[in-house]
Amino acid sequence: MSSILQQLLNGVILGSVYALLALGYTMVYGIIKLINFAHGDVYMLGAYFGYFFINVLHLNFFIALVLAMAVSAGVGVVIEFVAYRPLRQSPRIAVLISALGVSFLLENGMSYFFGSDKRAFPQAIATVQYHFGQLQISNIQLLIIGTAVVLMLGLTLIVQKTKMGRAMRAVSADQEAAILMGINVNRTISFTFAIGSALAAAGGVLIGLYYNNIDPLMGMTPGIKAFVAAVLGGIGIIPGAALGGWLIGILETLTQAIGLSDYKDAVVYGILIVILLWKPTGILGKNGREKV
Amino acid sequence: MKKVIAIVAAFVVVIGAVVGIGMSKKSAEKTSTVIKIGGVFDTSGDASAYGEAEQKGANFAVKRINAAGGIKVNGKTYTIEMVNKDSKSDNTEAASVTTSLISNNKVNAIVGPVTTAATQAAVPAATKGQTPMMSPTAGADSITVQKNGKVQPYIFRAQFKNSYLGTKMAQFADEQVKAKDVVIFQDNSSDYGTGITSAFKKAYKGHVVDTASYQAGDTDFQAMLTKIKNQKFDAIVINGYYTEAGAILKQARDMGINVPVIGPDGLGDPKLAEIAGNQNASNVYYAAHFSTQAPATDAATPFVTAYKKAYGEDPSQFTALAYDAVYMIKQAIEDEKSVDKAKITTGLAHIKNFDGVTGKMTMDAFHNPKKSIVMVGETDGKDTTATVVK
Repeated sequence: MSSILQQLLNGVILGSVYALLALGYTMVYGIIKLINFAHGDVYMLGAYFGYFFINVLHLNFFIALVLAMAVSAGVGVVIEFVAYRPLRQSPRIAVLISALGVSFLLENGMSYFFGSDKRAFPQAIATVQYHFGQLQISNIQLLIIGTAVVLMLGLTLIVQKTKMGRAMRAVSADQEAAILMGINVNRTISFTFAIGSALAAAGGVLIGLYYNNIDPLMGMTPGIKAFVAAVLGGIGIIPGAALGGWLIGILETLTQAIGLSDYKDAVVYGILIVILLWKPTGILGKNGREKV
Repeated sequence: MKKVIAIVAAFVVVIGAVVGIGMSKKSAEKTSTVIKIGGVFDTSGDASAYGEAEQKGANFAVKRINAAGGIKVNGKTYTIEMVNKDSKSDNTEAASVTTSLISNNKVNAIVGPVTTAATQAAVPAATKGQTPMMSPTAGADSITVQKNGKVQPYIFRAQFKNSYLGTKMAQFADEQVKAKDVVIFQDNSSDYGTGITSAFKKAYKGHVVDTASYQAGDTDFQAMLTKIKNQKFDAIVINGYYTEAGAILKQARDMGINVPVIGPDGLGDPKLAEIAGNQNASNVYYAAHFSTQAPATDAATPFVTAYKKAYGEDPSQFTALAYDAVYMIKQAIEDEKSVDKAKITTGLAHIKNFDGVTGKMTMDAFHNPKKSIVMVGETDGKDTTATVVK
């Protein structure tokens, strides 16, 4: 029993990172209907920025985390400006290909300039284990869950309570109507990319600290899993991304716990296919009819 | 008419010249007392670190053999000439360099290539050229085996095949660590991990409590570790490479699992301790081919001393294996009393109790040396012990 609880906890920790990433996918999709395949690589960049701030500039971990988020937010805005904005009136497939291009550019660019070797992430915070009865959790795992929850609450506040959040929701609902209402669509989209990228970077830095290693391709698999998490929760729906992330984390952990480690990903994706067959819009998805 | 005569004359001259050169070459070969060994080493590109170490080892072996009076066959003394070519960490290049060594340089035997993939690419060239080829460090079981299950007649290796590691690691777990129960982690994205695991299971006398599989690139091992944590086991065996092994090590030690960790040569990299954190990289044993700290045979110590004198650094295991490869070719020539390529091939296949610097070797039916391995022990991220497993 305690082992099941411990496994659930492991799943939640893993899922928190998927959730942070999935939020970025879902926000961008919600606002410009683009699956931003470069998102996983922004997560990787975030980890490298964190590495740089801690290892080279010797900053405190939390300052490094915030700075990495800020710089990555900037990178996200630049990516949108350079690679997606000029294609906004083009067919959706063109933007999708552009996104794949950015993804490869970031991965291979980082490999070229910094080497494809794994690097050890500086252990800015020493690991301390806490025991609650049979359960065991480390300060870093608590930090991951805590940061994820705080960031998600912050995001909800921004989307629900601020003017910018209202603009985001408006653009998402109907871009043309939003323009007519005097909303600066370009600025709103940039803001969305900034927020999404900052969340991804936070995930990257936390994972770097947790697993103690980073490499230029570290964003690939989590990127895909987070995308799936976003679809599972209902793409475009913010709470759905968080739910999807946690679900995938828990599913993945439990599959290994029952001894199916050989088929870990197969089982996870198999379950997803079943869920999507039964509810194609995702768990929290509404069966909204598309206006033609 | 004049033109025709001129052309015919030109032809005669050219053909004469070609024949003449060919004949002079032939006559030179007849009296030549040089044995040519081709070296296919990656001295540029991704694998250049290994390639350079191996080229140095082969050159050093040749230098020592020649300095000691060369090889005596039927009263004749031969010296060895090493012809090295760079295969540029590229498989196609490895194949074409091998062909060029055989047809242009007329080598009697080849040492190299460095990696499994390059060796696989060079196999057809060596087979077609009927030239014995000994790779110092190609590990995959398959390279000396044809598709139909028969042995590749011309291909040999100086290192043990990968799955043989599993056998020796099991022996180490039984005899040195005295582990009665183990948990195995295996990288199931390559033959390397799964091959070693099955060989380990076959040879291990204790009980395998659980086998967990992961993919190269995986980072999260919490679930697997939580699953095994409350079971009884005396050691963890990680059959994979240092990146994932480093992550497993860190997460296991963080969880308070402090049993010995045993792994194959894939763990033998300084990055292991870097990824796991030095404080977590204790009580770890990984397989190595050669260690200056633990001489496997009497040949090892003089080799290390001489090498240090010549190059001012310790020989690496790659250097030692390439060195052994050249000496095995020498042994084959002496055993068969011939420098003929076919005879060298036979000689290599019958090598028995050969005292190499990396161990006492006997070639099995599939051209894989059976020999001792070294288990290197780490404490706080540093190599502190070395045990020879005979």
